[in-house]
Amino acid sequence: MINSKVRGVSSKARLNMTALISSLVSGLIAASIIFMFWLSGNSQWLATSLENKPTQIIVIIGIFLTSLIMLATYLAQLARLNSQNYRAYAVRLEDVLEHLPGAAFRGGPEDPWPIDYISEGCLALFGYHRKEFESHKIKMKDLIYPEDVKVGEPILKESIANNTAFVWDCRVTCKDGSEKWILINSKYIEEGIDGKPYVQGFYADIAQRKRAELELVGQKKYTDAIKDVALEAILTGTPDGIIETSNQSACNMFGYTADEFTGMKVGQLFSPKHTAEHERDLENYRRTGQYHKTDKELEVEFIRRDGSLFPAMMNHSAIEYKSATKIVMDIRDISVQRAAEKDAFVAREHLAHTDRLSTVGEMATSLAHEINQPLAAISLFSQAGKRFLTTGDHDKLPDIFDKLSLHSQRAGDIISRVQSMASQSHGQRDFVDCNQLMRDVKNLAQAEATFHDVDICLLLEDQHPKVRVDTVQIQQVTLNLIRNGIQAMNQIDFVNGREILVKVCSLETGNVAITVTDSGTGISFDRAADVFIPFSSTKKTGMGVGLWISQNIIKSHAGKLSFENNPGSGASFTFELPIAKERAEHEQ
Amino acid sequence: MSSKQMVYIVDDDAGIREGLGLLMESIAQPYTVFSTAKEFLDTYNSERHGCIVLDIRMPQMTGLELQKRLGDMGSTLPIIFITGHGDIPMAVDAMRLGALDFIRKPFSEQDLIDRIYQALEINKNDQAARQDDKDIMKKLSLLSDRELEIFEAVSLGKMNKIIAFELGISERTVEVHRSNLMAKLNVNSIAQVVRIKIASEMLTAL
Repeated sequence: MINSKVRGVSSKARLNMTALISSLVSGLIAASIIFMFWLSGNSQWLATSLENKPTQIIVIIGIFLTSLIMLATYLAQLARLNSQNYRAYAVRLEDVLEHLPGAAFRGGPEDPWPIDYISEGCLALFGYHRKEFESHKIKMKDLIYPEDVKVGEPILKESIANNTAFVWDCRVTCKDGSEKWILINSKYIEEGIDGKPYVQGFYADIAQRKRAELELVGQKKYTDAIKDVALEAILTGTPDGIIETSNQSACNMFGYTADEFTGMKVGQLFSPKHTAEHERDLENYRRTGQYHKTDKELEVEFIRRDGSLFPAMMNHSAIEYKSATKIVMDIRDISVQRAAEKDAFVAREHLAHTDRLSTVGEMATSLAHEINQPLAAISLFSQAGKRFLTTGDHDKLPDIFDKLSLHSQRAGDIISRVQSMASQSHGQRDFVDCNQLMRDVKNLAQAEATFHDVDICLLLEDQHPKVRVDTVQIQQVTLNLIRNGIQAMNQIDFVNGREILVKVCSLETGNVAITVTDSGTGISFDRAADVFIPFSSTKKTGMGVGLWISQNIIKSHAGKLSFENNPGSGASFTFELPIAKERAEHEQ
Repeated sequence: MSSKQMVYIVDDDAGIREGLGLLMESIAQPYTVFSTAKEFLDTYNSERHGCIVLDIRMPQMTGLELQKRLGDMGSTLPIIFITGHGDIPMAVDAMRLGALDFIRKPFSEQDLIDRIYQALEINKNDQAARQDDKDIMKKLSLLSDRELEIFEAVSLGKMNKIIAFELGISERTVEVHRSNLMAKLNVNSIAQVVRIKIASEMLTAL
């Protein structure tokens, strides 16, 4: 259509040109006739016809004619210049259209969308020549993917109805069979130059944009997919605590839908015990504009939609996005881990308890012996007292009652030690002095030691190193080592002596080492590897789990248990525990 | 004699020592306490009378070891062992070595007192017997060689005539010696002479 306009312009110029030339020629002829008349003045034929006329008339006629000729010449000149302008314009337009990244078009709005005019760009765009389009050999609709046509048709209809621009991305099949994304940006013109309705606009190659777009969409899908398969709940939001996005894990973890999350206050997710702290952080942000964040993971308790609580590790960081601060929260549910840890803890406690019970059982003879001592003394004192009463000798009675009380206390102490050994520990850690701990263990082991006539020698540390431990369990470990030592010495009839040395020693590493040294059999080379393996005992009594449990207990206290043979005889077992610096607030 | 008898208490446990001591006081029985077997041994002398109340299980030297040592030293002090739970095998050993009895902790005091009295009685009899023995030996030591020869012969039931013949002396001389030795031995009959002879043989055999 534009082409026809361009043609119109050029044919008009040609018409002007013709008019110019003819008027110029007629002007020249007229001027030369007038000039000849004016020069000669006496041609026979002219002289005869203009015999009676004055020369002035001839001059006026001449001027008139010349003016006429001048006007004609001017018009002709004007027309020539116009035509030249038009041509240059047309060339430039042609040039623009030719180099357009895409193609301008004009065509009918009716069904297979015939093209009346298309710029040269169509060759580069579709691989078809403009002639192929303009001859209606190729119709636009045939090139567009049918599924895209389905999308496009209603848009076209709508834009025609509303008289709005019709902008539409679609895929086309090029001449070489390749697929190409194009943008159609066009407008429906109800009444064109020739009175018919048409559509005009341009096709642009948007393959690159589309690729980038698709890539972007793909990437978003990809990151969304990653976000969704992530086991961690990922929530993003504003620094003032409003959630914006969530992932699938977050939905699963908390029981809210993604829609419910959006706009929710993040504070709603924290268990009540964190509320105050969270409010403080928010308040702090409102006041300072600084978002409080920590680099390390925090253990936080969250609350699900159903009101149940669960422990989780949380990481929150602030990111700058579109010149706004966004908060990204990364939440890892550790309830399973916690449950497993608890199970393992309970199992370990149970095993340790069983071992203590078995130890108490094994020590029954020596304990009975030890308890019998104060009981026998009590019995003697009471009988003696009774006799003094009957003989009327009352002077000694107060002393006897004191002794009775003293020995009852002594019996009670032994029983409570046994009871503490037999009791189920509740996993509480106490802040205790190692020296005191070892003194208590000595008391506990005393029955066994006395029974075998063994001396337990304590070598304590002047610095009184403190540890935070489950007292019963550490006593159990030490008692176990002492009893093993006694047994190892008993096996060789105490030929190397009857002493067990328990040494407490602070180390530079920040640990305290407790070493139990005996002069027994020592650990033979082939047994060394099995020492900590359960049920590998060479002893006749016991389950053979003592050292294994001891090692477990020490490990659970972040310590280590090791052994070595002494240069002379016997073995030394050492366990290290971290020295606790301060008493915690709740400890007395 | 009983007033000189002493109950020797050897126990490493202070409570038991004190308790036993008070019990002895309550029955007005003299006693001495020792906290180790060694302490008792170090102060031991054969003049000790009475009985020992001995803890079978003690550090360093056990009651059993002390019993053996005392036996080696010729002590006849009766020993009552105090045993605890599970000490039966040791108690059996102790009885085999001649312990008077053993009593298990915690014990009935009456039982213990009865045993102690029994032990003291035995010791007293033992001491009395020893005194008799000493008397016999003393009497025998007063006899002259000739009297001793005639004592031997008389105790074998030989007639004066035979003795006179065997010794190559007169029957009358035998009669004089015989009456002298009977006076020295403070006996009136041949039967009593024979008893002294038997007792002396047993003593020399020891």
